[in-house]
Order: sequence, then C-alpha cells, then structure tokens
Amino acid sequence: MIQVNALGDACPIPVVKTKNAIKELGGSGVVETLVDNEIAVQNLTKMADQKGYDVKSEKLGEGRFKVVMTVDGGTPADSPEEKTACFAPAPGRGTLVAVSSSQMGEGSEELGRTLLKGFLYALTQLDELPQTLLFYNGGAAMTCEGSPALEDIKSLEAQGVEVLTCGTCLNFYGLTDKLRVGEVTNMYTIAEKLAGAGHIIKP
Amino acid sequence: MREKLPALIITFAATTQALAAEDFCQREGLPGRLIPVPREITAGCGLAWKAPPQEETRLPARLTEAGIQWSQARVIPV
Amino acid sequence: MIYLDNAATTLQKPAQVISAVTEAMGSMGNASRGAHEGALEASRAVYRARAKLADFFGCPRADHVVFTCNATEALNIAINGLVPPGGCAVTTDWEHNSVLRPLYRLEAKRGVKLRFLPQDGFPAHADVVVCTHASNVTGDVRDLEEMGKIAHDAGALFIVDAAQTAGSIPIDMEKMGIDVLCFTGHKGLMGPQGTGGVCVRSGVEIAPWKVGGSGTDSFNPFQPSPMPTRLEAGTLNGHGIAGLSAAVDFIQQTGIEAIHAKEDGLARRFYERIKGIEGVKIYGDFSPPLRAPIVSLNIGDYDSASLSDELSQRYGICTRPGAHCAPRMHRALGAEGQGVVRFSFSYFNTEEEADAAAHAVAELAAE
Repeated sequence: MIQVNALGDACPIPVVKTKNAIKELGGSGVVETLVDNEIAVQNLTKMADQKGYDVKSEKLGEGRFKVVMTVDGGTPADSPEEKTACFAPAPGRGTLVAVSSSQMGEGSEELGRTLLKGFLYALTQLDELPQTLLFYNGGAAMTCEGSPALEDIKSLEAQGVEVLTCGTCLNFYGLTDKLRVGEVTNMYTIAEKLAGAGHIIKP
Repeated sequence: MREKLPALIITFAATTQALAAEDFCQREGLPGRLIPVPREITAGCGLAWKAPPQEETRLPARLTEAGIQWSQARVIPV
Repeated sequence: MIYLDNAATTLQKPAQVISAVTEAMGSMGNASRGAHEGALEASRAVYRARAKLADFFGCPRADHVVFTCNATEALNIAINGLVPPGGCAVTTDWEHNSVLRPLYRLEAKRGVKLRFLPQDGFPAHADVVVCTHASNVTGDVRDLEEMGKIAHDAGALFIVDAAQTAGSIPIDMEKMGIDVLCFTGHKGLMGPQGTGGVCVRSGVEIAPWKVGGSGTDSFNPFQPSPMPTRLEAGTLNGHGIAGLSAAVDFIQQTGIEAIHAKEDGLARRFYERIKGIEGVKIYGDFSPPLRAPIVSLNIGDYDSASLSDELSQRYGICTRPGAHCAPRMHRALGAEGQGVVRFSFSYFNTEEEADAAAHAVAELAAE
C-alpha cells in the first residue's frame, strides 16, 4: 500500500500525486490518498472510475477525507495525452435532491421503498453528483439507523455531497438520537437550499 | 551488500519537512531515522524517514496530526 | 573606541555567537545536500534556526522562514516576487534604498505604479504595501498594526522591512498583520553579517526571484515550489546561520524587552544631554514611548561628513554621516546636501559612552 498525503493541495494536484503513486506501484496494490476537500474526493473517484479501479472514500473528520483505490495489475498504463480534469461545481447553483418520503412515487408502499433504495444507490453512480441531499418528513428515516440506504448516503457524503436532515422531522418521529449520516438542519436552511438550487430532483 | 528488509519509508516535498518530522519523532519517542531517499521512490526531498513496517498506519497519522506535511508513505524492502 | 554605529551593524556580538560560528566552521556539511552526518548536522542546525526565528517573530510555520544574506536580498525576494507587472505598490518616504530601488526598477521596467504615503493618498486597490518598521535615519517607529489594516483593506499584502528593529523591538507577524517580514541578522539581532531572511505567512505565494541548486527534485527544470526551497536557491550561509541561531538564543535569554529598555535608555540619555545645546539640530520625534535607539543630528550647517570625522579623530567616537541610503527621508528632513550624523546604540554600549558622546557634541557645538 502507498499512502499519499494531498492535504492542502488544490485540484489537480491530488489526482496527479495519486496517479504518480499508482505508477510507482508498478502493478497491483492499494493507494490511499488523504485530501482536505470534497472536490478532490470527487475528482479522485472519477479518475478511478475511468480507470476501472475499485474506489472507496471515507470522511475522517472535518476537512479530512480518505480515498482508497485498489489497482489490479491488468489495468492499462497511463496514456500521456489524457488530461486531468478539475471539476468544481458552481457554488449554490448545483443539483439538490429532496427526499420527502421513505418511498419513491405513489402506488404500492412496498415497491416505493424498494424504488427509493434503488434510486439512492443509482445517485452514487452518476457522473456528476448532486450538491445536496435534503431529507424531510418521512424522508428523514433514510438518514437514520435502520435505513436500507445508509451506506449509499454515507458514500455520497464522503464524495462531498452535503447531506441534511430536517431536525423537526427527526424530533417528530423520535429519531433525533438515531441520525447516522449528515447534519441536522432547520426550515430556514431548507428554504434557502431549495430556493438556491440550480435543479431540484424529487424522487 | 546486506540483505534488504521491509521498512516504512515516508517521503517529503522539502527538507525542512523531513527535519520537522525528525524533530517531532524524537520528541515523541517515535521510532525511525532519516535516510537518503531510496531509488525506488521519487520524492521532492532527498531525505526520507525510515521506520519499522508495523508503523505503517500510526506514524503517518501522527505526523498529519502534528501538521507535518509528508508526501508518501509505503513499506518497501530497503 | 566608542562604537555608536549599531544601526549599520552591531560590532560587539554575544560571545556565544562567535563560538557558534567557530564551532560550525569545524563541523558543518552542506544543509539539504545528502543524508550523511555532516549534511544532516547542518540541516538540523538550519532547521533549529528556522524554528527559533519563526517563534521569535510570530511566524506560524518554521518552513516559511527563508534565509537570505541580508535584508536587501530579503526585500528583493519579497518585492520582485509579489508585485505583478502593471501592479500597484504603496510605500513611504521613510524607506531605505533596499525598498526604493527594487520599486523604482519595477516602475521603470514593469509599469508598476508607485504611491508614496501620505502625500499620494491611498489607492482603492494595491498589490503590496511595503514599509519600514523604523526609520534608519530618525529612529521613529511606524505603527505596523494600523498600516497592516490599511493594506489589507485595499486587498494588498503587507511587507515589512525590519532591518532596524529585528532583535531590538518585539515583532509579532500574526498580531501585527504582517504578510512578509524581511530582516537582517547582523544589526539588532547581533548575529553575523551575511545572514538575514524572509518570514512568510502561510498562504502567501512568492514567485522565486533567484533559481538554481536546491539539493532536491533535481530533474525538475524549474525551482521546486515547496517552501523554503522555493526561495532558497544555492548553498545557505550555514556557518552564519549557526551564529544567528545562537544570537536568537542570547536575545531570548536576555529578554527583548530588557534589551530594548537598555538601548532606548542610552539613546534617550544621550538625547537629553544634547537637546538644549545651541546650534544642535536633532531630527526625529522623541515623544512616543517606542523608538529605535537612533539619534541623528547636525551642528549648524557644518557638513555631516566633517563632523563625523571630527568625532572619530578627536574622540574615537564612531558615527555615520551622509544620506544613510534613505534619499526621500533626507529630502523630507531638508538635509539633502548636508547629510546628518547618526548615533545609534546597542545593548553592549554603556552610559559612560553615551555621556562621552554628549560631551563631545557639546564641545564641538561650542567651537
């Protein structure tokens, strides 16, 4: 395993450093990169996806993320003409996903639950991740203990997606102690986020 | 020549950071010493910190906590 | 000999500074050039000096202390590395040529706009504000905290020339809002000549002014970007830095407040004894509590060079006549042709020496 320290580095340095480390691996192995911003996590994840490396990211603390790539020896070497893209979402105008229920769509409740779980997983596979996930009313259960989508939401958060859950809703459903991912928010922030979003997706 | 054994090698972008690491490790009683960077590794600075391989997770984490900017950490035979 | 030219260089150095240099000359390899014991010992000594100076000046990071051979080199690095072509630099009439000449050159060659405070007024935007902590002619001290606020309000970086104050008046980069501090080692710090440096606040990126050997990253065609290597091409003055390091130890042990109190006490004692003498014109403002230990004067319209020579020949008192590399200050004082005679005090001067100098001035003024 090679550990790469890219704390304090702006894009594209974390990607360049990680690529260099992968080259130094000279075959299969693991490269673990420490970064301090969410954009770097997204860029590294994108790079790994393009290369077909297995990639996991984890939020270690405030301004501290770890991106772990598993490289198997069969992947092709770096092509020289390829550019390192810097992806920086425009602040405040990104996509917001508003989850207002524990189900997706109307009709069968059982189907609705399965659909929502599938939707949240599918979000992790998008080329461009949303900027914010907002959970309220029945949706608040999705960020709490027992949620079937907890791992996917955690992975989105680790890649820099802001995860917010309505505090009043947690309180109403008796889930205040059960929140397992993201931050608690209030109606002012919810209104601000909805008003400021570029696109709103409501599953 | 002597046989190569696995060791944790931590590299740095600047000599000053390598010296800050030495200073920190000596004060904190953490193991290791400064060596010239092995040829297998490319690094900005000519000095690297060499420590026992079992320090692979603890040592980089301690350096990070102390605000010392290391570049790469890996276990290789040296 | 009574040495009162400490604003040019301090002649008496603490004993430990001299022994640190001697010792280093027998043991030191090239810092940052290898991992054998000689090189490592040099690297460690240089690193310790960085850490001490960072602590001494309130610079948050030891690797942001860059060594230079004097304040002039430090100021050239800061000014040339931070003012963009066509940019705007603000400065004052108090400045030494080490600030003025780099700025004038940028004005002539790079279309940089210069503004002098207070007469030109402060522009709405500036790239840098450069000012001296204390005038090397009058010893008057600038309020850096206030100047730093003005600079930052205009979006400018604040560069301070501490040539006359480092080691003699406390400096705290963080508290005073200093982005780049330029100092010399051989004046108030009482270290060897050929030492000095730039302390840089983290986040401030100075483009390298000189490039070359770094001992690291040798296949990179450009100067490596990490600090301090970025700004330190070429072998450092390791022997001098060892002495500077010992000098900082001496100042920390003695206490900079105690040092300043003694120097300031001597300068004011001298001032009190000459201020009433007829024909003696003293420059500078002695009312503020904080001053650099400098007293500059003229007797009538007598040429400053002749007066300084008389002091040296008849009394063995070393002073500095002329323009002190500060043309705009001299113009402002109206002393352009005559120059002034500068008496500057150090921690190692005595009250007897200050009194002897006052006595000499009185005798010469009477003639």
